[in-house]
Amino acid sequence: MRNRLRTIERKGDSSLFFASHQLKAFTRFESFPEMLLFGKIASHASFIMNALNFFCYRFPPFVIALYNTPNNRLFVQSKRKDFCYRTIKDFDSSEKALEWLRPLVQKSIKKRLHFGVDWKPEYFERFFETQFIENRKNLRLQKKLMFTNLLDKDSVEFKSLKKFSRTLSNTQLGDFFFSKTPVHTQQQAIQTKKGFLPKNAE
Amino acid sequence: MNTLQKLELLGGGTKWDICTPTSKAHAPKNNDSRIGAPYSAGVCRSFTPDGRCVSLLKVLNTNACIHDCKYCMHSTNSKPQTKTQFEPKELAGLFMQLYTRNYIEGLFLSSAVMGNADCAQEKMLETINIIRNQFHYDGYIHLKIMPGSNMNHIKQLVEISDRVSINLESPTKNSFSELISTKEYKIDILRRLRYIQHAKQKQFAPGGVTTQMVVGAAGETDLEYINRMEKLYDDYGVYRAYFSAFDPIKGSPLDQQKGIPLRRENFLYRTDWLVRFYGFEFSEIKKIPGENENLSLSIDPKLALALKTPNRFPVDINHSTEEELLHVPGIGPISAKRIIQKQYNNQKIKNEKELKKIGIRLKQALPFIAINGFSQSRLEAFS
Repeated sequence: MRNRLRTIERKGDSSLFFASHQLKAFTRFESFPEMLLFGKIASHASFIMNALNFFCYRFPPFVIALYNTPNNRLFVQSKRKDFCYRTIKDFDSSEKALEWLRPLVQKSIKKRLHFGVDWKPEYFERFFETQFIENRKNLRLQKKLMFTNLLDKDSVEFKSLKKFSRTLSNTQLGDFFFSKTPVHTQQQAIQTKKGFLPKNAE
Repeated sequence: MNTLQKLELLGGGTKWDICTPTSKAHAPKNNDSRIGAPYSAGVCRSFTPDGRCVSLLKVLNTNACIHDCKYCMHSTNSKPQTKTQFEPKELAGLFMQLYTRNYIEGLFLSSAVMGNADCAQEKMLETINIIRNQFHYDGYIHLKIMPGSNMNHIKQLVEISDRVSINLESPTKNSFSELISTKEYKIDILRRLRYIQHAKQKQFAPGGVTTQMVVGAAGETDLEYINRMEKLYDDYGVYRAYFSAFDPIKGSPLDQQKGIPLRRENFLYRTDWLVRFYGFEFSEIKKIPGENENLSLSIDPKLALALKTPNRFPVDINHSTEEELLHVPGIGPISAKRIIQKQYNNQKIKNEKELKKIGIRLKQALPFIAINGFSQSRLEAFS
């Protein structure tokens, strides 16, 4: 007899099962040749410390720097043995933080990692656009999962939210009276100065 | 052709491939020089306007194909397209660039079959070897096994990846041969699934083996999908079956055919979940489809089953087992567990409010449960 109750128990327990599909915090790195990953984040200090640990565990050869934009604070950490540096420092801007950090990392780390392909931000943008299936458009779900306040306004995700939500035309008063006629005919009718009657109704 | 153009063509070719990253990745080697420890659960990085998460870089190695799958945009019968392929170093570098910038969480690599299946698999192996050995990447990789690949390649791919999959495309041999003439269902697909089963050991491909089927492209019934699921889970050790409602692609031989409603795909997933998460038997699931062997698109499969087995209900909420509770519409695995916990603690549920607090969907559940011996009356009782 099939007994899957143990699996159910395991999956039912896991709160991460649901949480992993939700965007809780958001950062993307800028990669520098000095083995430095620099990202901007907007969150609480306690969360940033956890995020730093997570990223250090994920990218051990890199120095991870997270710049918290609300209070202009830079958090730096690394798992490298030649860069045992863990600091929190205040700056005026992210550019100044980078100016301070880059030479420091450059001095300490000599070995570099080259991936052989030059980076362009369009890579992700183009890939993102190719993945969308128009028949399955579900903006409500995208909005629910993607917290717009965490997104950069220039990002491709933010633009896609705007772009596709604009295609939904607002319901107008005329739609209730002439529901059988196509929307564009009604709009033409509104444009003509003969009230709400469409052209062919004359 | 530059990398950006290749990414557009080869990335777009995988948009119908369904895959989700799993936390069941292999244990990372205890080495500080390796990138991408897959242990910690990450967050999805991005969501497309169809609500799907983009957490993996999904690409094809090449889009030049020798097969004639009628639903596919890359088949020999489709409208000619620009053919291209990624060089292994190019794709490996591109992937690492995206990964280190935290755009993606892993790689899903598939391919069209250029020349023969072994040729395609060798290219994939080359790419993955660069990623794993040259760039020291230890994270999540999902690889597609090509129909007709040899045992040796399958073994190597299973060893190097976190999850492997092979597309079944259709639940039966007849419908498969209607859609594709260049592949043999039993030899090229089912036998390869058996090879994967032999090659897969505990430490290899911890994410398991998955498969994907196109729903309704050749007039298949839902019962056929359910029967196939049973065989896949029980005989071939498949971890999960994915479904993709047939959606005519412009330029493919079936582009004039009508698409299948997404609800049908959704309901097939629901039946799959009833088996995998709710512990239902396939013998029960097979009762759900109607006379035309299809699921009703107006009633949820669990509710349909409950209506077909009225003798099971009402279930006494305070004295029933977890299995009985899971059969009640509106009660899921978590709420069933909470009710059982209450039973262990000798706490009796006395009213509907308490049930609502537990997280039960009362509207669905009330006709099928009894609280303190009282159950909701049905309309038939008054006739």
